[in-house]
Amino acid sequence: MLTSCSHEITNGCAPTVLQLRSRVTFTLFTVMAPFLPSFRGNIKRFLTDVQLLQYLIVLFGLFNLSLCLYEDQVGKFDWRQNYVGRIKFASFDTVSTAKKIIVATEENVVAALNLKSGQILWRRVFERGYAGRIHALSGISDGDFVTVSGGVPALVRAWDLATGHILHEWPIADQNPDRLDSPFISFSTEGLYSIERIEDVKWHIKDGTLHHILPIYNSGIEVTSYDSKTGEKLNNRFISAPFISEDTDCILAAPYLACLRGDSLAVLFMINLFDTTADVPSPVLTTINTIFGAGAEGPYKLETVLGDEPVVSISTDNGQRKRIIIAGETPVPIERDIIGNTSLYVTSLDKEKILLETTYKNGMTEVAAFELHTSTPRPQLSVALTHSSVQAPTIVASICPRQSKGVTCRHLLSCEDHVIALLQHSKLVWAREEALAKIIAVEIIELPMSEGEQAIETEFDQKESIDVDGSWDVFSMFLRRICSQVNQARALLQTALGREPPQSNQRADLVRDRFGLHKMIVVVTAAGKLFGIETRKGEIIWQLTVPNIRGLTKDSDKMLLYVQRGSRHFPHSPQCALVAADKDTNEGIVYTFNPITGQPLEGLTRLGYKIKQSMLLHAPTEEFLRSIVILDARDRVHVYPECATAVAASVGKSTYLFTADQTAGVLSGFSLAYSTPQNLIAHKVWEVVMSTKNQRITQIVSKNPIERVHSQGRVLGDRSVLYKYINPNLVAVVTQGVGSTHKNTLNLYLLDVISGAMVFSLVHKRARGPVHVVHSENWLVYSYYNEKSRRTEIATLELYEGKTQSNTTVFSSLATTKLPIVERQAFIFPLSIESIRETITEKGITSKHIMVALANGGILELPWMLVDPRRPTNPEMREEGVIPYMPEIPIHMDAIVNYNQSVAKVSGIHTSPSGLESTCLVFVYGLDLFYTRVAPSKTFDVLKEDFDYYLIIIVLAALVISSYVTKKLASQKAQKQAWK
Amino acid sequence: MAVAKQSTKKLKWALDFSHKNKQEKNVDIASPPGYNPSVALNHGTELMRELDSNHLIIKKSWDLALGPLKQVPMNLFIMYMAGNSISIFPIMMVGMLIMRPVKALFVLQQTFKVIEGTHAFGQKFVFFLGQLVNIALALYKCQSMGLLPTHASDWLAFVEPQTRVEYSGGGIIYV
Repeated sequence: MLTSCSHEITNGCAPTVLQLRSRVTFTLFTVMAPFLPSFRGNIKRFLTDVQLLQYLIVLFGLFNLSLCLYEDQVGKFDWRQNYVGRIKFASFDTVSTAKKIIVATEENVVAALNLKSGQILWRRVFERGYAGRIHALSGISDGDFVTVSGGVPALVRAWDLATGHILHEWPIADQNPDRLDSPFISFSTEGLYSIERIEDVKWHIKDGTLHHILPIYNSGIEVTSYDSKTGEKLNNRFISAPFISEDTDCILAAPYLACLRGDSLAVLFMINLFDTTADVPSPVLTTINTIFGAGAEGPYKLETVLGDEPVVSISTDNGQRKRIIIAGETPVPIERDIIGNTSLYVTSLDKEKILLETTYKNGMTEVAAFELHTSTPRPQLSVALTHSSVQAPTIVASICPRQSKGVTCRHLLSCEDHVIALLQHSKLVWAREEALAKIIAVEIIELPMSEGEQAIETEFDQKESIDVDGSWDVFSMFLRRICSQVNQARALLQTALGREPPQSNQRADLVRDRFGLHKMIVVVTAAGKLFGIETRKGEIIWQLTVPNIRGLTKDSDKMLLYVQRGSRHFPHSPQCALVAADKDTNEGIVYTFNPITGQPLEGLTRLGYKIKQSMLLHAPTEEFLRSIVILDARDRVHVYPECATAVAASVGKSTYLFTADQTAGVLSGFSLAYSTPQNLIAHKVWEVVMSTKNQRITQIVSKNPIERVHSQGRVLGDRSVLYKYINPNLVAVVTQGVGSTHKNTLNLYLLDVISGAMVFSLVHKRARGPVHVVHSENWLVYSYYNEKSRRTEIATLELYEGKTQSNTTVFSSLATTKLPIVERQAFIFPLSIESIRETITEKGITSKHIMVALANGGILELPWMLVDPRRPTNPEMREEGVIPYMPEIPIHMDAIVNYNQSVAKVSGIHTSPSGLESTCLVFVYGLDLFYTRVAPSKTFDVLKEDFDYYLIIIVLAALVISSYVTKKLASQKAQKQAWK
Repeated sequence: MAVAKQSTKKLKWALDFSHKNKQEKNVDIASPPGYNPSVALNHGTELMRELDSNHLIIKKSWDLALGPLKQVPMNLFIMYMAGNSISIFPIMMVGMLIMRPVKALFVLQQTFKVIEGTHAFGQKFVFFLGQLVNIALALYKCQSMGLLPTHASDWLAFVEPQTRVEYSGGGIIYV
């Protein structure tokens, strides 16, 4: 049996249908080279040689497995798009000859954008999360600029403007022993200030000096100045300001710190922080009445006006109107009401300061310019613009240089939907869809059929061809046939003559191709903007902004995207639904749209309750629409659309919903069995309480609902079958926390969510996150960080029913009593992991690979075979297609599917089956987007690209012709012979 | 029995000169010793030839019928020499072993077309049995080489996936 090793590995193809065939073919290869030994005695030695040979073949097979790319295939199947994220700070580079814009974004990115095209010239990605958050960006001076980023300690970095190379870096980690008794010192944050107060810290960089400004409650302001290049501490000042407390709202309008205190009778304090002439700078007080006059009502909101002058704005009357105050020795309030939602910016033209007021109404953006002090309108600088991609913009940077032909202002706009746009002289130069840097949910949807095929579908559509009285109208059928044939003939003629078919509302190239490789990626972003991206080139086909929505939970942007109806139900159009929450009320909303065209279908539906959990019902309605079952905060069940309640109730007996409460640590299962056709009832059937004391549920991973498993078992060495335990209702629950004896523990539970039965559980001691889990078929792969050995590890679990199947036809979670056999193994992974996902194919015949997004920007295609928990540690006990255990997983560079197209900060990978069984579509998202396709078992179902069709045709034709010719010749010869 | 035999022997070889009367003499003269009228009849030339060819055919057809059985030891030897490893030569041998009897069975009627006679059915039957034995041997060989789909693993590809009864959904709550 050893001889019949892994055919699958060597050929890298799908498991063959009959084991028998694979054995035979394999051995043909193995034994052809050495000749058949003629003596029995030699056979044994020969067998050991064969074993060695097999090892070699397995090894070479592994190299073969990775689908490498030839140089000319670069960019043929894949594309990448780079983004920077929503702008936080921006500044125009007016110094260098190649004009650019420096941006610092909320995605912790510093980048330089080309002024003319908006392309990224260079980009530097900082650490993830708080450690890389950018607090300040300096103006540009002699070829470099400075950023301040991170938490404790904050890092100051000086960057080269032209190349983006780092010039200096130093940390602000100064521990002042005098301030140990300060109430803001927390020992966990290295003694500077507690993590909650970190937002209060202000930074100001001017003329090569970095000022670190820390307001201290009821006491004053501490200003520490550093040399921004060297990190040398220049001076440390303390400014007394006892009015600062927890409810004062302080902002920096350098060199002034403005603080607003009190609600009804608010007072605005302004302190010059850098005024070294006065020994004790005293705050300047302005009451709210001097700003607004009498009659203004709180709450007031203080905001800095960006730009070149220390200006602050205060809004009143619930943000209806606002006024600005120019900070100075004596603050100057401007007595002019500005509409509340106007965004302000102060730019300078020569010596003059110009206030730009940007308003957005009915799709039109207006930038009105006023002289700052006198409020004189400057109509030549005011612009108006109507453009679909600019929505509710804010000016984040602006320059108005005087040129020979006049003044041309350039405004960098950051819109509500995260679009970055450059406005020059009332013309939009470029716009970048930065919302795509933060994708929340992804679905890949098949494109609809071409119009010709749709016409055929219509012709044979049963519903339409049956008349009202049920009889078949032969004549109309015939007419329809003729019509469609005439249409087809016309289309054929048109294409033959090279004339384009008449334009329809649907783009001609957005049709299903033969292999189903061309699809539509539907993307939901954190900005509440939806995109439709086609997969061939990555072109954005449509975009939709859903107004006023937010993520379902407070701390994450979680939104759900459901495919209610695919593209296969012509004439019904495909339908997707976005489930999110309303920004104001926090109640659930459902937004339905056509994923191919981006047309809203039923638009925004406000549900009027908070969503606790939801699922897509498996049973479609008569119109092939799968409805969404929603559990609200009071455990009542709703169905969207409501007309599908009867359908949901009819399958209620087999429908279960489970919820996991992270704070309480309770998992509960609900059954819909008690539903009536009018009313759905969720009945709690089980509850599992996890220990919340030191464990918190961090992740729940279920299987991909569209997954299909082709092979029901695994062949063992003795040719018996170990049947897989394929429980579609099994979920993996990961809890993390601090154990009693060990520092960090990680628990993993496998839970059947129908019965609430705990199938398996395990504990990793001294292990912590980030945990990434892939749950598929009968196995689970997860990665964690081993604190003891300080490395990332991948562990795998595999579940088997045993040598017999308890029930060969159906799987019911309620009927199974036997616990599965669990195989497990852990491996060392030499790189750190950002995200993992398994490949998926239409029928599940193709072997599975695991796509691993690495922290270094690579996407690794890791064969599941390498993390197989049945890899034997004892090399004597070998099985078919199993490689002996090695603790370290080798990483071959040719298994990196994105070659040199590194992707930064990957937040997720989405895989989707294509029409070809061998091929899986992979979409990686994060700061960058990357799309490619992988063939885990190689493209066994398509001919190679370089397949020589002509040669085959010529050879076949030659053979046919020659056989006819020889037949003729032979008959002639026979005739001649007969006459002799 | 012995007496009767003796008497018949006596009758055969003894000449009886006891009766002297003419009538008797004319009427019945004993045949010369060793002369057997029935034998003389049988020794007709045509009859002889027919008998001979018939005999040959029977002999030949029995040879034919027993042929497969005679092959069995040879096949056993080949099988032993081929070994149980799966490589091209043993596979070819096993293929031959299994194909030849099957082919022979298919052309059984033609093989025995020339043979008529009382033994035809029996010969056919023996031939058939012999081929069956050969097939059985070949199958045994296949079995010992592991080529027969007799294990559960060989039928794994045809096992249908289990259909699910219950459907579930859910996850971490949003509120």
